[in-house]
This record gives sequence, structure tokens and C-alpha cells, in this order.
Amino acid sequence: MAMIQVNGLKKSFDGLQVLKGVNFSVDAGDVIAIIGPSGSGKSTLLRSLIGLETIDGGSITVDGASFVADGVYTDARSMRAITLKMGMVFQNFNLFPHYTVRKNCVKPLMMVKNVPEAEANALCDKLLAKVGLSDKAEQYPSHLSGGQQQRVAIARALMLNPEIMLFDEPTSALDPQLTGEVLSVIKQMAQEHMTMVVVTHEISFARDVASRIIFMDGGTVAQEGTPKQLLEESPSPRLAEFLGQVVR
Amino acid sequence: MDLNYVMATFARVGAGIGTTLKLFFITIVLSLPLGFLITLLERCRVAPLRVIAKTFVYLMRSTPLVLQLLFIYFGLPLLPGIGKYLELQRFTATIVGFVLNYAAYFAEIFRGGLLAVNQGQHEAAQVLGLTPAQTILHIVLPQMMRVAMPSIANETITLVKDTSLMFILAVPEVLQFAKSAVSSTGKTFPFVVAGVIYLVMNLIVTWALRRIEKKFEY
Repeated sequence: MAMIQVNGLKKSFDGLQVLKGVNFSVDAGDVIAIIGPSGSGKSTLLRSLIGLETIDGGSITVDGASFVADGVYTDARSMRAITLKMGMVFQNFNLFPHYTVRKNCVKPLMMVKNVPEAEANALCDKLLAKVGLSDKAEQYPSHLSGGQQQRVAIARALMLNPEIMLFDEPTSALDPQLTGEVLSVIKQMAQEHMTMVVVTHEISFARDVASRIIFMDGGTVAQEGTPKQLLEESPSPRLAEFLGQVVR
Repeated sequence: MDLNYVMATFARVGAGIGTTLKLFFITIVLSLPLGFLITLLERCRVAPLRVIAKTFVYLMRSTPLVLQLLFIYFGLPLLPGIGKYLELQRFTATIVGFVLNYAAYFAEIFRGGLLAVNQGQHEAAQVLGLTPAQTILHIVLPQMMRVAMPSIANETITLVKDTSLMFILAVPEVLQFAKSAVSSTGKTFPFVVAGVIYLVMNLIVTWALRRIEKKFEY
């Protein structure tokens, strides 16, 4: 069954149409890599899925529940419930700078789901171990490297036990060495069959980890398929041109 | 000048400290939350509320506080119809004027503080499922306060000195007592005493503010 179903998604900014009727679906356990040139609408598409952008037309269904039907959003309460099925990781981490790593993780869970502090702390310890940052729990984000901050952001998102994880260019603000440590965490999650949608410029990561690649160009899905189909067997001329520019 | 005279002058002028402190604390306690409310109104979706909030801040910051005090005490009762309900006692009128005036300044300080909180913080809070109220209280407010604290401290020190403007409505406070002591004795020493009292009060306020500022650091 489709975890996310998107039909005819349209979005404009100040009269400029960024998404021109996008269709795609994500099945449980899928790891979707969305690639494409800047301005192709990748990030806008991802942000629309979790309600950070208000779309102008089309439908989004998440885990069987209608988020937007023909451009009409469901009520606020349902929207929040659907949003909570998804976790999101941003390009710029967006950790809360006034909270320690531990508080970044436990506070949202305690506020949103009224989970007792001891229980939240136990889960936090488990997830920080998973992302390899057990020793950083009492540090403030400003004392961490970008790669460490992004791994905390992943742990924070996982605290709420989402069914789907969305990554918006998670390594674009990192240098190559730190990129690796973040990608290996995402890889590990893929092996655990977490459903994920990753907007990325890391073509080799898409090749190794994604179950499907979506190539966005000019506000539409220009081509989609398995990494093998897209990257080796039959890239469209436009995709081949794009790959030539990004793969060094 | 003997010690007895100095002590007596301090006692005489110092009799006003109670009123001065009362105005100071009431103004701080009421104008900070009111200021934050005005900041939120300036950013709210309802256009008329935005206009009201912005006009209020403009009026309060663009006219002298002394004039505002005179208007509240002498002017409001003259308003047709509702005037008779707006006759305030001197000290009450002073409090109203100070709270409204300082709220406008604090609103402007908070506005700057809010601009310093990254939009990504709102987005992170939203996708984590925090309600708008939780986002403001737990995420935005602490970050805003860190940015706003130095300016708030500055206003607070100004407030200690501004309490002397109560003088215009003849409310008995430090400066009022000093002036009457000068008039009755013909010596200017009571003014020096008043100065020393303000200096000491601000020494304590500055120390306290520095401690509070530390609490908002991260």
C-alpha cells in the first residue's frame, strides 16, 4: 500500500509555477531519492508533503489519510496528526540552540505526546547511541560539528517514532568528510526498512541506497525508476546532461 | 557640613525611595508582558489589530513621557461622556502612563528580538508537532530574550531615572523630597543626596540585570 500518494500537485510562488502537476507515490519501506537541478522544485515538493508549503492544487494522501484533496486541506487537527506520521530533517539542521542535545530530543516528545521525562530520556539515550553521539547528550548544538548536529536532528525526528522520514538536502551544508557520517546513519535506517524520501545532490548515495530515484526537472517528474534504470541503463538526454554536471 | 546634617538629609530625601521603587517594580512587572503582547499584535493576521498596535507604539514613542503623564492626569477627565470615569489619583495616573510608555519601548525591543529568531526554528517546531503556543513559549521566547536582554537592561536603567518624572504630578518621591529640602534650607546638598540614591539604586539594578542576562545565555 502506498504510504504517500501525490496527484497533480501544483504550487506557485508569486505567479511563478514551481510545481506543475507532480505525481508520485511512496510505498512502505521505499527509499526515494529525489534529484534534479536547482529550482526544479525538489525541496518545495518535500516541504509540501509535511505542510511547510501550502499547495495550490492537487492531492496528497499519507498512510491512507487525505492531507489535501483537490487543493483543499483537511481540518487542523487531522493535519497535525498526519504531519506527526512524518519526521523531517533540514539542510540547516534547525536544532534548538537554547537546548542541550538531550533537551532537543526529549522536550518535543514530552510536549507533544505527554511522555514522562524518564521514558523520554531512555529513548533519547537509545537514539543518540544509534547515531553515535552518546557522549554529546549534555552539549549545546553550538559546540557540535555540522555532521554531529545533523545526526542529532535525525535522532530528534526519530524520537516521535515517525513512519516516514523526509530529508531536505541533509548534507548540503556539510563538507565531504562530515557528509559521510550523516549518510551512513541514513543508510543504516534504510537497512532497517524505514520509509524515506531524500532530496539530495549525492548521486552515489542515491545509487547505493535508494530503491527508486525521481528526477525532477522544471517542476515535474521528468523520469523515475530504479537507480540501475536511471543511472546506467536508460537515462533521458536531460538526465544524462544533469548527471554529467554533478558527477565529478 | 556635619555628619548629623548628612544623615538627616539622607533620611529626608530617602523618604521618597518607597514610592520610587513601587513605581519601578509595578512598571517592570506590567510593561514587559504588555510589550510582548503588543509585539505579537503587530505581527498578527488581523489587519486592524496590527494598525492599532503600531499606532500605539508610534504615539507612545513620539511624545514626551511627561506630556503623557499630564494628559492622563489632567486631560482624560475632560473627555466628553467618559471623562468622569477616567479621573485617576496622581500615583495611579503615573503608573498608567509609565506602563503604557514602557510597554511601547519593550514592544519595539521584542520586535527586534523576534526578527533574530531564524524562520527554521518555527519550521522545526511545526514538523515536530508543537502547537503555536508551545512554539512561542518554549522555542521563540527564550531565543528572543537572549537577543533582547541587553536592550531591556538599558531601558530598565533608564526607568530608574525616569521615575523622577513623577515630579510633574507632584507625587512625593526622591526628587520631590530633594527639591523641597533645597527650597526650605537654601542648600543644594539634597540634590547630591538624590543623585547618590539613584546611583545606588542603579548599581543594584545593573548587578541584578547582569545575573538575569546570564540565565538567558546558552
